[in-house]
Amino acid sequence: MAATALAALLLWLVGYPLLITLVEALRAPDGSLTLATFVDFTQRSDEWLALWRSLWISLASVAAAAALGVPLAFLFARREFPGRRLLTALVTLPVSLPPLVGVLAFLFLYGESGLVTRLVAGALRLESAPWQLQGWPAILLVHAYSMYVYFFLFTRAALMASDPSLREAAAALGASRGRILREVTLPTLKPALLGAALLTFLTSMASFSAPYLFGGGFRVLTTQIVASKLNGNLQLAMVESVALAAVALIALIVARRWGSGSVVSVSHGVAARSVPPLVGWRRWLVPTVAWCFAGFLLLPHAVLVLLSLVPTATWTTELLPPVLDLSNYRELLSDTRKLAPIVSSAWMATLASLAALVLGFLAARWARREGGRWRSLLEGLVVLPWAIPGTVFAVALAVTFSADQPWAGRFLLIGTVWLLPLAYLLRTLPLTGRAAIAGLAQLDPAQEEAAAALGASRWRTLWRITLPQVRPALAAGLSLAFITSLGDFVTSIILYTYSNRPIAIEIYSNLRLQELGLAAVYGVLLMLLSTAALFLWGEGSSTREGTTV
Amino acid sequence: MALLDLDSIDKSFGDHTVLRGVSLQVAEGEMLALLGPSGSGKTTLLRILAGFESADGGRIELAGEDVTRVSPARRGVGMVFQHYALFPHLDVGANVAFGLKSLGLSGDEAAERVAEVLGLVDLSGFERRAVGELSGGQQQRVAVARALAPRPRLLLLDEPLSNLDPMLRERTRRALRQLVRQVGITTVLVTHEQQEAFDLGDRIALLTDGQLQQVGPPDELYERPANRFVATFVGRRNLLSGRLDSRRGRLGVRLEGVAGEPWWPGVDGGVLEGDEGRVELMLRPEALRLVDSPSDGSVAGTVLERLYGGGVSHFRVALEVDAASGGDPEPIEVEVLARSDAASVGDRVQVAPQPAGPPGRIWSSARPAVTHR
Repeated sequence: MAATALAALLLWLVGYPLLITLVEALRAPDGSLTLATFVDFTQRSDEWLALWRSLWISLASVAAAAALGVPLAFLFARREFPGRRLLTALVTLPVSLPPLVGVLAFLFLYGESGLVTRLVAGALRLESAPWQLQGWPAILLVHAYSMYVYFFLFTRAALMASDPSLREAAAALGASRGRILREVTLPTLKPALLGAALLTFLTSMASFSAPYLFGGGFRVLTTQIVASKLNGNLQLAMVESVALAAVALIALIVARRWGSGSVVSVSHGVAARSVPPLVGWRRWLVPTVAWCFAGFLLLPHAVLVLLSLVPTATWTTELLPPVLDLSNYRELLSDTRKLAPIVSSAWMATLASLAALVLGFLAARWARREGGRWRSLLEGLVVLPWAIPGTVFAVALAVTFSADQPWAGRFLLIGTVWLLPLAYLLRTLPLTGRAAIAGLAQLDPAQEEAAAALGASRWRTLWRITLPQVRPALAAGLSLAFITSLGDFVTSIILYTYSNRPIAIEIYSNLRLQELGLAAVYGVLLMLLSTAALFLWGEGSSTREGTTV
Repeated sequence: MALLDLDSIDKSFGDHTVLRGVSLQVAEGEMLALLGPSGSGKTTLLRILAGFESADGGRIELAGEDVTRVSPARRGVGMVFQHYALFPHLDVGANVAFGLKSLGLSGDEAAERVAEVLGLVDLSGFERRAVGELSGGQQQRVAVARALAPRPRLLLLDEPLSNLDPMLRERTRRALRQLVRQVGITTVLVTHEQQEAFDLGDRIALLTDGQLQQVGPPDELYERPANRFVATFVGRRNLLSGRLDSRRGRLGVRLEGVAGEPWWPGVDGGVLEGDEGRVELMLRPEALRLVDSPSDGSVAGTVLERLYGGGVSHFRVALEVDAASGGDPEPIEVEVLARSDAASVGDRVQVAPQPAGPPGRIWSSARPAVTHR
């Protein structure tokens, strides 16, 4: 009964808006169903171009992120050098930067009047900027910067969990180092690499901030959808959304197909042997390069802080800002109108992530209890939004909740403050849901049975046995959900109203008004809140990293 | 001539010394068991033989060739890992053929060789099976087949039976022994289980704290242990303290703390220069017997427990302690091997040494032969 109600709720929240979008996209102005808009879509070369660009930029992002993340993971998992532990924490930093803030920082660093651009131009005595941060190279740079972390984390975890005796067995059988890498190590890494590639591809397909700010005339599907919507062509926006969702789902299915051939290691986990130290000249070169790389990774964070301290219109042609003070912070704190976005983002992110936590946990728990078809349905609904780009969900929610038809499960939410938190909830449901599924999977079912056999009620078992053990996983999911909602730009730009405009929208409008200092202050606050959330709740996941997998 | 010759192998990890001056020869076709408690350095020694660890000092010769600095891939040594380390993404045939590619065998030759070694381990026709589908015992046999396929000069086995359940272990142990004899390959095996070492090893090398204690056939280790550590590690034993005392030209020990301070005979265990003649007498359970009535040298005791073993059983007997020593004397227990119907729990019995049994061995109790840091 409860499982049925839960599945119905999830279907209504997750599946229904997508279905409505598909149906509405097929609806002609007179109400009949027609393929006219789809035909129109396929006949427009700019649409094909946007689709093609979305595809290749995503594939290029996968390649770039892998080229950066995989070698780094090998280095960090297989070799010991000074500062390895601290660097491991540092190289995952880009993930904690909300997409729009990352883009903002790149603009401040490498944009036409960016800090690095000025320094290079100054050093080379150039009249104008040596490069322009726009078009596909800029998008690719931002993607590689923020998404290599997936490859790094997945590969490193797989390497650390892999049985070192596999490589030793191959060596004892006479295989060279190259052959061991090709025929033993890489095949065992296949699931991890595939997982990272899929995550990078989907994130990249859904990426909006970088193409929106750097793309210019280089339109990809996500920016095309928003442009169609802003131009009032909702019908076309819906068709574009359907196309984007279809590509994402196809990628998901293809990855599943490929991944089905991979096998989980049958050898039992042997504790990883001690990591050998680097020897010779590499002992000095590798840490130096690694630290320089970490410096490059930290630059965006640093430049945000720097820019937030530059008063409006004081930094014009100088190499470095001449005045640094707290006037931007004072301005923000003294103006309730400027504080409003922070309050909005905070309450919406808190509400959405808590609701996503409860919903995700309940779904994971019922899926586990019911098993079979119910399990596939519940778990599938929980993780579906993960594959659907945020833009698509935003359009779907805008369409579904723009009608007042309670008998059809549609309510008039557009224009109210409730639609955006609902979108956050759906977007973060996979994060909390997957965390709950993973946490529960590690729990021995016999423990709950033992509690029941000892006379504990369901509630007491949940409270005293289940929750304490899945708490670290849930906390990690919650912190990720909170951060994602807090920094969201892609759904916000479609669904916000003036009274609930979130931080990212405020950053964007300040950027357009050339209020760079204020934009940076919002960016710094977002960064601090995200990091605080990660440390407060996410700690459990990092301490467990070594023992699970 | 020895096929494998280890000369003064040293190894440390940081400031922790794992092996010191280990020298050992293994003859062609011989099966040597490296036995020792966990942390004794036996696995490190095996990994040095395979080339996964390099020795800090010393020399390894394989068939007259110095291989001390040769990489594992060029050593021509086959190894079976404790957890088998089968490649999960390759099927049984590809696992077994893995080492053949490095030898440059043609496809047909390789397939023939794979079929041949799979036949040896009784897995003919298993080529296309996924390793994940196999039972633990079958995985172990695939691991052995994979190690044997390139026809290595030396086979190394790291706790090869430790992952099998007891019933299967017994059977696999017999099959392994037969296989190694049949192939005639020189083998070094690491184990912490004495029974495994006894069953499989032509000779046993007992290692503790990185030092070899004794190398010899199983009966030699059991009957003539070289020092107190070997005596206590191998087999069941009783250790009784007393004073060195020769009677009628026979070496013996006057037991202390036991009622009547009886004299029991023993032989020189090697280190007799004890502190004022204080020594320990080591006796195997079968060197003692239960007698009906008090006789010369017998001690009264109470049966605490019978460890039933079919026709014969081990009896744990608390010996009557010397009341004269006053206070609350330490209880002294011995284990006696006797016919199962010789006594019941709670019976008062008399314990005496076998008149013609294997003699007890005497070591100084003041200074153990093996020093533990």
